[in-house]
Amino acid sequence: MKQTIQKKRKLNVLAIFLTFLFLLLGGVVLAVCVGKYPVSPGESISILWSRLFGLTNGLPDMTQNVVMGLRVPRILASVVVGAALSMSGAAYQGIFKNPLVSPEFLGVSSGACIGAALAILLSLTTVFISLFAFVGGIIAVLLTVSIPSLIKNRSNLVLVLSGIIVGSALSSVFGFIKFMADPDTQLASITYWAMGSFSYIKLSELLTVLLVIIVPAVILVLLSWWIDVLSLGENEARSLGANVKLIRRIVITCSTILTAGSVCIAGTIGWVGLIIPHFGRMLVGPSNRRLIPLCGLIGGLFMLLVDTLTRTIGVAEMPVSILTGIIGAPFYCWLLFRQRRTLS
Amino acid sequence: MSILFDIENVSFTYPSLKRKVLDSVNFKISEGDVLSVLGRNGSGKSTLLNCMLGILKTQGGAISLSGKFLHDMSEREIASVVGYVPQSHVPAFGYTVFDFVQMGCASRIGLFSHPGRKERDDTAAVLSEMKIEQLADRPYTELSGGEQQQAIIARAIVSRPRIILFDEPTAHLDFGNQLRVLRLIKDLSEKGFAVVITTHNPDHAMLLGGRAAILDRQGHLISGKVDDIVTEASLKDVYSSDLKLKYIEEFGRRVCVYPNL
Amino acid sequence: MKKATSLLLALALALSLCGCRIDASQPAVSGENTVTDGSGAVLSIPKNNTKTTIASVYAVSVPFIVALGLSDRVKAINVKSKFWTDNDASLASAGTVGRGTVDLEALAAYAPDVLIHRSNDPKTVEAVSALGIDVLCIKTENLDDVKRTLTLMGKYFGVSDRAAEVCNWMDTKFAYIDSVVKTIPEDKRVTALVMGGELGRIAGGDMLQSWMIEKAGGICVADSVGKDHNWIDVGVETIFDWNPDFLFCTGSTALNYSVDELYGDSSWSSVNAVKNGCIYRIPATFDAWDMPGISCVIGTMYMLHEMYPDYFSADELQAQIDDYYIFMFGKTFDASYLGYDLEK
Repeated sequence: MKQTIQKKRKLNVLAIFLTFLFLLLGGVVLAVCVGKYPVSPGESISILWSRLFGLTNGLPDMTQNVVMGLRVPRILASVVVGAALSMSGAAYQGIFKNPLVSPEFLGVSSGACIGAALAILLSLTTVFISLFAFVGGIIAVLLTVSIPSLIKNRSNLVLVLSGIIVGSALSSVFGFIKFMADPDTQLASITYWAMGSFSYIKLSELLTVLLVIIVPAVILVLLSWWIDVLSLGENEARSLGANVKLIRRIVITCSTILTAGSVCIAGTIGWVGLIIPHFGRMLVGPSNRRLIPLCGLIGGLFMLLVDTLTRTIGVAEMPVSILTGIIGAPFYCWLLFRQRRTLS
Repeated sequence: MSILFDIENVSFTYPSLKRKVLDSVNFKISEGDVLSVLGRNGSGKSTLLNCMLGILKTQGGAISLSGKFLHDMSEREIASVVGYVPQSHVPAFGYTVFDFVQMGCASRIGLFSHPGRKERDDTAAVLSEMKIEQLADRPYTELSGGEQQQAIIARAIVSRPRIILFDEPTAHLDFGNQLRVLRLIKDLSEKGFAVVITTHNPDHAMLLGGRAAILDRQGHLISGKVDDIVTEASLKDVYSSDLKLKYIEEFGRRVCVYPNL
Repeated sequence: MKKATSLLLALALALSLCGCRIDASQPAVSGENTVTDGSGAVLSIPKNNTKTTIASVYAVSVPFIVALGLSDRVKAINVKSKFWTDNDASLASAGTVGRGTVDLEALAAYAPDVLIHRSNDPKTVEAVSALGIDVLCIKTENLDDVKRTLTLMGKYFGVSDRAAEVCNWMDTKFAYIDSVVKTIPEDKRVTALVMGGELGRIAGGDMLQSWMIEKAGGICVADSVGKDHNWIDVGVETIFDWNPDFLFCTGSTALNYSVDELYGDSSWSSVNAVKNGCIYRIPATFDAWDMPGISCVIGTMYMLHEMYPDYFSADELQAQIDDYYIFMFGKTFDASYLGYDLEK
């Protein structure tokens, strides 16, 4: 009997994965077809098709530019960023055994943003901007984690509180960098980093960051079972035979690279890394072996939908973070309401 | 019988505390032994277990596990010999009992891999051995205290260690569940696992039989047969109360009773 | 599930690799048919440049477009106030492709030949160029920039004659201002300061607004400070220390204080400008006279009148205002419509 239950559950999980995979693929196709520039779905598909297989098509240059130059990079970027943020959010929540944390609550996003801003301020190249973003994110998360151990209180609340402290300290630092920046040349690009937008994605840059993002994402998936073990608490995990320090270091590094990579692509985008893991847990339970890959799919889909909305509704494009906030905050409230028993 | 744990002159002090929690502690545990460690609340019983798990580093003396210095062993090596049943607490996430128990296989799993068929089969076997198959798909966080204790014990034995350390396994349980857990521990011992439990209830030591140890506030530990160690005099030392040991004909053993208030 | 994720990533990679071919290089530029824009970029002038269509999200470009008579070529625009759309039918019927930042796909949908943009936003330039739309950057920090922009746009859009006419008109007006200022004795000269949108924020000595004070015969107290041609927060105390005779509040942005508030505030009472009732909001609500543009002629004349009414009367100023609007729109506007009052 037990075996059948196990099998049934496995089938359910598979069905959920396939559903979201198809939703994501469908979403990508749909997103390629919609936008302010009039391109018929048929034209979009034929452009994609001919690009994929190196054929030619008779469509005007502008139509091709819009589909391949604007929509495709944007769509890929939103999927990648959504997936990266959600996976890193799930990993952070597991490793800190705290469902209330996320890349932005731990200060990682702001840290990465400051790193990037600093690199812009020093007029460094794109590679250094990414590198600085990563270092900034790591420093931020280390600061956030060190406060609870400094005051010897490792409760969920103190970690969240510590994230708030580090977050506001970092926003001051960010303000200072903006103040120091040359308003004519640097300020605009720094503000762009902070705002969060998929407007000006370049395929070449996206590809570079994508390579940087895939490796930690794969590592997180491979380590996902160990994240479960670590979420039981340090001593318990060690007594089970886990190399806690090593695993924790790898997971924090990978999650931070994912977050910093997303910041490099699209600036800081809130809420995604917090709510998607919760949503995923409702579907497949807390086991990170299922949760982390699923978060990749749901996060990618969510970000894709949000970005598609921002670029299709209204005359002027809305910053992505506004929409994630509008959707995220009530959604999170609802999740908390649903999970009120397990959280107390 | 081969010696599992050989603890020689072990001392331990927390950096923030001045008092020695363990002071030149000596004892041995062999295969199949049952050892009940008695002591007041906060006397350092959990600290002793954490030292035996290699989680805390001792400052003096040496602990050997199966002839190797614990100090030189990895978490994985230790975990393959020593199972640990911590005091039950609610984890942040509600893993299913199956997943939760399966985590006991960690010492066999490589860093970048996941449990496979063998681990799944072992887990299923342990669940049926403990007669908790029906809990397999329930979230651990929604179990009763007794069920949680059973799940943790299942997790400790799934990888077939040779010794299991129980940290206050009966704390937070009602009388019925305390009895059930003790029965389970006795069963495990009869199956050949060596068992160490910490408890502050002398009755539990006497119920389990075997050997007992008493850890006092100065960090001294005495150990020996239960009947030799658990005496009215030693109990007065430990608990600063006039506890009485009475022989009950019906059970054929001694019990510990409170004096009148 | 892992297979699915890797499949997705492989697809993403394949798509991005295909997309890389989009970045086509710019056509080579040739001698006479080129202009150097405000960002230093060299653009080739389109062949049929008297029909070149325009889009912009940069509100500063609007007066230049109107002055050069290019309104009917505008496909999409972002205006600062209704004044422009109310009085220019072509602008009123034009669309919008964003405010400040460009909605790329909307821009592609309007398909203009050129985007007029600010000179410090390389990201937008790059993204828009990739669409196959030229970007003409304009810089309007000071009067030289303004004239250079007129000449640049004149050449680019094939209206050089009109551009020369506008420059000439401005030169004539400034020469007239010089002739009036020459009649003011040195001992009658007053000190003045242009204040920004917030209290304590002022126009530095390197800004056009400060140049206008000096041009109008005043002594700018902020001469010693400057920050990259931008508003600086020097603090209220510094303004008290400078103790200017006249305070002009900018008309180019909203104020978070009001002129009446300053008169009523006891801490300001010892400032000369407050004592003598010499605080003025620079008109006009609709068409800010202190913006770097053609209207700065009128802004300077306004300062001249307020500082030295005996040398440049309200009637003389009103005649000049009417002259400006006739030059720009071919008609005059009521003072109440534009939002100024010379009687005060």
